[in-house]
Amino acid sequence: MSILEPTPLHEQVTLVELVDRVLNKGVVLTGDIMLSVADVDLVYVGLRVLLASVGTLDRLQAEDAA
Amino acid sequence: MIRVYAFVAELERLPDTRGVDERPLEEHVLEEISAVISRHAAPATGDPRADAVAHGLVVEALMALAPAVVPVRFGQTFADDAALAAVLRERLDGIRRALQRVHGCVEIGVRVAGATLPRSTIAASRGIDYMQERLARLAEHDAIAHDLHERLDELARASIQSPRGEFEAGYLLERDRIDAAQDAVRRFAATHPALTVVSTGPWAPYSFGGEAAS
Repeated sequence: MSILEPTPLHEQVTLVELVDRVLNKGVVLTGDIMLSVADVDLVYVGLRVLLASVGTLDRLQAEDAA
Repeated sequence: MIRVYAFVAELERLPDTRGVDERPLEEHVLEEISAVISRHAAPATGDPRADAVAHGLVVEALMALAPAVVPVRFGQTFADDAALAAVLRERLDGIRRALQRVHGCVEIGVRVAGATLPRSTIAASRGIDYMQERLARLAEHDAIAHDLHERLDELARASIQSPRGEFEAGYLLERDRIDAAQDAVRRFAATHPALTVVSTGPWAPYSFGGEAAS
């Protein structure tokens, strides 16, 4: 099981998720966006890596507790 | 240059948070629609990632001070008041509807990793057996994530699913339903230990201002 808890890794997920949201979501008023698509993709890749890390961390914690 | 962070309704006061480049925030009102902005002498030259975080922190700070916040995507800048007013005038009705839709609500993000397979894995398929096995697993994982989606969708005023490969969804929730939604995610994660389930938020309703853009 893995649910967001306040640990440094989870805080990283929150930060990357925040950046993902401000870059990918939210109202677009003009077509003039300053960041390139490549930057957005990098954030998304970063988020996937962090999510995988959260999964590993939670498994390790579960094993330690067992 | 003007940066726009969000549209707000019934803003109690401006947050203490500073904008991008530590610039002070202003409430800019046009025909009863309030935008939260900052003014800049020149385009930002700093780290765009840091600027994006600063933008996001302003939006989140607004959530504590207004019942309705419609976040604007990072990177929207205008030369001056006239340029901003020209764009806003065309979108006032959409922004007004978006503010009504999100009034009293937050957004919860849910991602289920391992619920579907990455597209690259399927593209690399070798032979019909391999493909069928992959498709069967895909359908199974989709059905599992769909179960969670249905439960959260019942609690939400609106929801949106990302077309990306893995299950990623946003739920527009009235504030008093946040606990129920997080409980549902927690129970789901406990029932499916093989999946990585991450719930983030509550956030400003980034995914539900869409109509304001049209």
